[in-house]
Amino acid sequence: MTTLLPKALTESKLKDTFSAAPSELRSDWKAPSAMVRGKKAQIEDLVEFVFAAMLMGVLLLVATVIMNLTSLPDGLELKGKITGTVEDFTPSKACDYYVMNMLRTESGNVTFAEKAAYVKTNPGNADSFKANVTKFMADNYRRYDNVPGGIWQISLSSGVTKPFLVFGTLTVIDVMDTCSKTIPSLGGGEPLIVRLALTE
Amino acid sequence: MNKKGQLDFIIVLVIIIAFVLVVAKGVDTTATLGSKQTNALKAYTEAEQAREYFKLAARYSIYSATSQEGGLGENCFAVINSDDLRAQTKSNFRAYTEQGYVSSNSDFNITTPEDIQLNILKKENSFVEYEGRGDFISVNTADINYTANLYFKDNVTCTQYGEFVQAAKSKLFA
Repeated sequence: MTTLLPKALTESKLKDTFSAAPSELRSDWKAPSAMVRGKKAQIEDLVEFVFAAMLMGVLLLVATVIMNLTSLPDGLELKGKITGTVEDFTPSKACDYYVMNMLRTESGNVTFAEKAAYVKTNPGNADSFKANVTKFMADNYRRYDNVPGGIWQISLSSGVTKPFLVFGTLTVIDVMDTCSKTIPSLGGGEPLIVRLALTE
Repeated sequence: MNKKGQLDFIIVLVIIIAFVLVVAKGVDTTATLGSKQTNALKAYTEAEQAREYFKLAARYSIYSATSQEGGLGENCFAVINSDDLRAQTKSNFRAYTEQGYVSSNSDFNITTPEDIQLNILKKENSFVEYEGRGDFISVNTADINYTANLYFKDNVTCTQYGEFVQAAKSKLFA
């Protein structure tokens, strides 16, 4: 294709020349069409358009990723491989389960929670309470491989004082998991704290 | 755009695309899973224990109200006047509600209602049926707000009362 303008006369030069002309001559100035600017100028326009489009696309993508990052929950900000450790898998859930069940279990129509309160009021009830709870744990306490005979310890205390009763199969201080529950004492006195310690 | 400008632009573009690809593809990370679920479960069990606490407190209140006159055997409540039992039980129970439930777990902030309506629903010679209801038990942690209804209903039988008498009455009222 042949061009209608001399090579040296580019669009910018034309514009400069035209802007210097008297205003009455400038009113009908129009940019030269693509047809008259040559192949190189067309390609340059095309490349600039493609770059601009790509740039906008990239910016949009970055914005989308950033928005997703802020909306995901803690610890899961990014996609990809996540090495997860489950919160409290061994502690507390099993401990809470056993201590709650133990306190609600009845022996002779009386719950262990009541029996614990009887021990506080009358220490003479301690042996009976220990025997009942020990049997309950032996029959019910299972960990991991579903084999009975896990290691456990129960203590009863009132307020911040030293426990008034401690018993169980735990003999070494290697406690993996502890949990406790508050139960009322007889006569409206200071509540009792029943603490269960479990280990492997 | 001149050639140098294009080259600079391409370099910047490549860096941005690489960054976006890395982010989009993902970076390996280690996360702790299920902490909120575990806290929700703990809050639930703590609220259950609070409800159990007041149910036991109501039972002990009946024991104490009965122990002044109650007998042993199958008709241990026969000699108890119903109105006296109601009044004395409520009075005893107030000591527990004023004290409130104090969790042994410091992770939780537990609020229990101060005003719990305790009703003796039925008194027979061999048992007393009781019911308690109050506002919500509220268990709060940093990321969990759990509320549970405070309602309980149970019986005190002469067998249970007899156990109390044998195990603790003499010491409690010594």
